Amino acid sequence: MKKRTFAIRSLAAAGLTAPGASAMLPPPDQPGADPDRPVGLYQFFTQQHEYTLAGHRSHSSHSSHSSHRSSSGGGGGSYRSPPPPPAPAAPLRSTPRPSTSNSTPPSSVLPQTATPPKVLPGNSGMFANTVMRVQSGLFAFGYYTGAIDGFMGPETKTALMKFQLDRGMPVTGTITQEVLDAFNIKVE
Amino acid sequence: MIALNLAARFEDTSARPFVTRLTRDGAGGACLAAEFGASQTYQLPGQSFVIDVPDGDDLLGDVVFADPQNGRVSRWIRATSPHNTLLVTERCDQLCIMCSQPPKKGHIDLFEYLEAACRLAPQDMVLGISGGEPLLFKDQVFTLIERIHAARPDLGFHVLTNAQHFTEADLDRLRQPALRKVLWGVPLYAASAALHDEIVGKASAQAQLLEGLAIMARAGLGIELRTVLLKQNYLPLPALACLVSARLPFIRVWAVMQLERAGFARNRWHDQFIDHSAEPGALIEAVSVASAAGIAVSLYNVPYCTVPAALRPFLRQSISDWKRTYSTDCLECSAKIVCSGFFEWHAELSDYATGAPV
Repeated sequence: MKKRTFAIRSLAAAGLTAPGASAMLPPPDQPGADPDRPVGLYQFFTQQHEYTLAGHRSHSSHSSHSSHRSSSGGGGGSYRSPPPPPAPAAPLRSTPRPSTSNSTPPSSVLPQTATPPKVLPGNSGMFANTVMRVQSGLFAFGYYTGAIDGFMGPETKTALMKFQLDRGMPVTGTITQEVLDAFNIKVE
Repeated sequence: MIALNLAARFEDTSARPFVTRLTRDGAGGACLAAEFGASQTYQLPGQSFVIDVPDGDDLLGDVVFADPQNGRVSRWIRATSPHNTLLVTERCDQLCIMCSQPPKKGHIDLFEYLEAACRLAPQDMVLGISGGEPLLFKDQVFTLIERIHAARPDLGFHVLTNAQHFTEADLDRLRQPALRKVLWGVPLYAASAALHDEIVGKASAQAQLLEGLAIMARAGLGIELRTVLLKQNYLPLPALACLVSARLPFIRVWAVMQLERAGFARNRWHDQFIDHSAEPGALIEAVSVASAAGIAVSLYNVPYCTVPAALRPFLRQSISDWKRTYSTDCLECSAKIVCSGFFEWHAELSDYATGAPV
């Protein structure tokens, strides 16, 4: 597991775009999969990153941005328990909350809202999982060297903004549909 | 109207409620991590939540109370608003006939969260504290203000209270800077004790209130006296002006306001709403008496076009911006910038005999 992680990292870091690699690319009818573009190889790896992330997960022991990939074996993991790889979509609430809940004094005299937000791409399931996928994408492109910890810290934001700038996207420092498309991240 | 209470989808729905500030970069709060159209995802360690931003609104900088188990985010302190009010309790020892926020028996202690919210408030903000009757939890309210004064001396407080819970034993504490700098909003509805007590639904309320005001005066507190105009107290308003001028000259301001069409007043509107434009005499006399005595008078929720020119210098913008609105007749009016407008649930302009766009 660990070896596999390092192999991918070094391939990506070397910017390896071997001609033979295109043979392993996803079929061209898949959105965002254009074999002529240099990102093709990366996209291949994004398909594999269940492995990559699994390798990181067991090592990213906390949400600190500076001490990444510590080999301490996950002690002091206060951030969150490792999410299961296929994150099930959280059930969408179908009914609005009652407008007068005894447990919440301030709101009960304030205007109420009707429907909870819809599940949108990148919002479903474990959001941290989506962040990890973006972080590994940024890492592979050389924009990010911090921990793949699933947390949008300042370092991740800065990397994301540079990436957005270079790719001609709106520079938001947030995960947008363009960002998901660029990394070929599909969120069910 | 601005939505203060938003539905939210939390990643960890089992977590305890928490208070955080919504930020772009995550400094000192939750970080804006993803945006898909109007849907924003905020993230903080171990938690994330999705909110649909209301049209034309901006949540960044707001201090929110997030309740994962109930899927809700309440905007306790809006960064762009000068009118933020924190509710300490819904319990009250009065039952005013026109109460816009009718009390409830239950009380949930949120002081821990209220303090956290105050600590995150924008620089130099004045925060309202209301209820219910906040001073049913007097020691906790005092402690909250004192602790915030120590941690955030730039912040100010406005506390809405019936002033009946101050005692001589509080004097030393009230004289300290933390409580001295608070502006205390205190309702008084009539010079007649019987009428005031009837309006607030509590025997001896006015007597206790005047006692409380005396203690507040001895402590040197800043007092904003508040009077809501009602059918019941409108004609005797000049008598109240005399009482204020003669016995309460120490108040900082007398705020006279039109009725809010909410809570109890919604169903009792025709028994309670007084069209001051149809018979402006009492209002003019009351304002004249008080201002001649050197009392600062402010009129709230009184549309510009419904008062004679003599009263217009006393008009102020609505107390709560999130409630302020204008009647459909007001769209083309040129006086909107000087008009206090209506409370959200107030009358239409047509409820006033003399009102018309300027």
